[in-house]
Amino acid sequence: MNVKSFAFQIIYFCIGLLIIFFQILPLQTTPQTWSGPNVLLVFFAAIVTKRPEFTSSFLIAFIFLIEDFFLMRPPGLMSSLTVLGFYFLKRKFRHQEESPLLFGWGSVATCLTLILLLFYFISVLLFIPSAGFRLTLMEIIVTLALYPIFSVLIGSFAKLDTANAEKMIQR
Amino acid sequence: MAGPNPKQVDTLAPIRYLATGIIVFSLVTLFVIWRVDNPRVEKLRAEVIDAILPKFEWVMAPATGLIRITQDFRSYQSLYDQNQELRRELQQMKSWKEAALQLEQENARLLDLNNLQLDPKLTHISSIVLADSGSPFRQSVLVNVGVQDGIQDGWATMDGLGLVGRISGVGSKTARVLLLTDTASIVPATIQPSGQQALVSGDNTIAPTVEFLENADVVRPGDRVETSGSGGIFPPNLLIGRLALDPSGRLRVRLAADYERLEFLRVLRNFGTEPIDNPGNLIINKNLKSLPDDQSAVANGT
Repeated sequence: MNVKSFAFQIIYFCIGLLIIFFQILPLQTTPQTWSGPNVLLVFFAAIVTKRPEFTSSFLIAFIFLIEDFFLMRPPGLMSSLTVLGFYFLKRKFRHQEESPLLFGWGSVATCLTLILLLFYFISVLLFIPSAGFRLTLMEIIVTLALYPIFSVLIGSFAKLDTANAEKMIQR
Repeated sequence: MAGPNPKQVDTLAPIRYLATGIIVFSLVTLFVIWRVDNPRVEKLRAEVIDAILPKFEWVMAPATGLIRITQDFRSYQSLYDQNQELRRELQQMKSWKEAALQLEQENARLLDLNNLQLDPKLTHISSIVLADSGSPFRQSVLVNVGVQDGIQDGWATMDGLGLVGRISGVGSKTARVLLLTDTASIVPATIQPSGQQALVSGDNTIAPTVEFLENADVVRPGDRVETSGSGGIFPPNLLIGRLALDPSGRLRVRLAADYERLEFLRVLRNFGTEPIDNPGNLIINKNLKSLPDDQSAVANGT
């Protein structure tokens, strides 16, 4: 079980790196008037809710710190908020096997919104140049909209995996 | 296996709690240190990027190229319109080319007449753009030259046409270029032909604003905006762009550099002009100091 969890964490870490990699490709060098979703955040939110046993605070801290460094964000701010938020999210999801979709989405939405809003307000309070409230709001909305897609994707992978595991046990 | 064992969860919970606490604490500490001692952590950031990014350099260029090809493919739909437009532009360019050639000849003749030497220090290092900042909130790009190539913090960066930004953060193989459009970018500028001084400061839009203009009445949209060289950060007379008026009546700069496609950038070597803080330095060259030295010794002796 432990080895498997470790292997999955490495896979998730690599996917996370891939997401960062595609984000920093120099395709859009002009300032945008819109904001895309925070893909890394959504991806790990989906993993935390669907496979809470395969994530650790260390993994989340590490990948988000790398993102902080690459995306020119204040290092440590977004990653600490994410680790905290996902810790509570994980504790909530660990105790129930199959949560109804709407409830799951609701608590994830609250968590993600809190992370992004807190990040914005702390930046403003400490006079760190930030994007402005409009872009932050847009980022929150798009990020929340993207969550169900990731959730279903990772959920289906999880089902496949557990089905495989049960087959192995039956043998 | 399938369901979590409740006993196991209970024994691991305090450890997990503690570990998360330690991680969050150290991240917050890092953030606080960044807020207090910014340059050191920014240096750490440059080193982290420098350690990771060159390993992905080989895949970065093909990936960017492929995505750009697919983007270009979409624009083939409007090929005919584009062709017409390009023909029109070509006609205009031909006349401009004639004018430029004549001016170039005239300029060469005048330079020759004055026996003028161009500053040999103003050479440049070419670089390839590896990555951008990845978020809509920050405007910067990473280039593939660094300390190994002699790059220093603060140097001006141009594409073929105009100023793009300045170097801000250097690793051994990579450097970050802070674009003029970033909110942290402020560049002292001169507006020609009136010679007005102003600051060009980015505000996360494609056209940076012009601020602290002495007299807004003597400048007009379409005027050239150049670096003024004051502050000693940039060499003077680098083209930034042309002045424009936005709908709300604010003056902005339409940048000359092609921000849509930043692929190759040139970093200008600039070791700064020697400051003249004492009128005598203007006349007595420092290199010839050995000569006046023994003269002054004689003067002191008597």
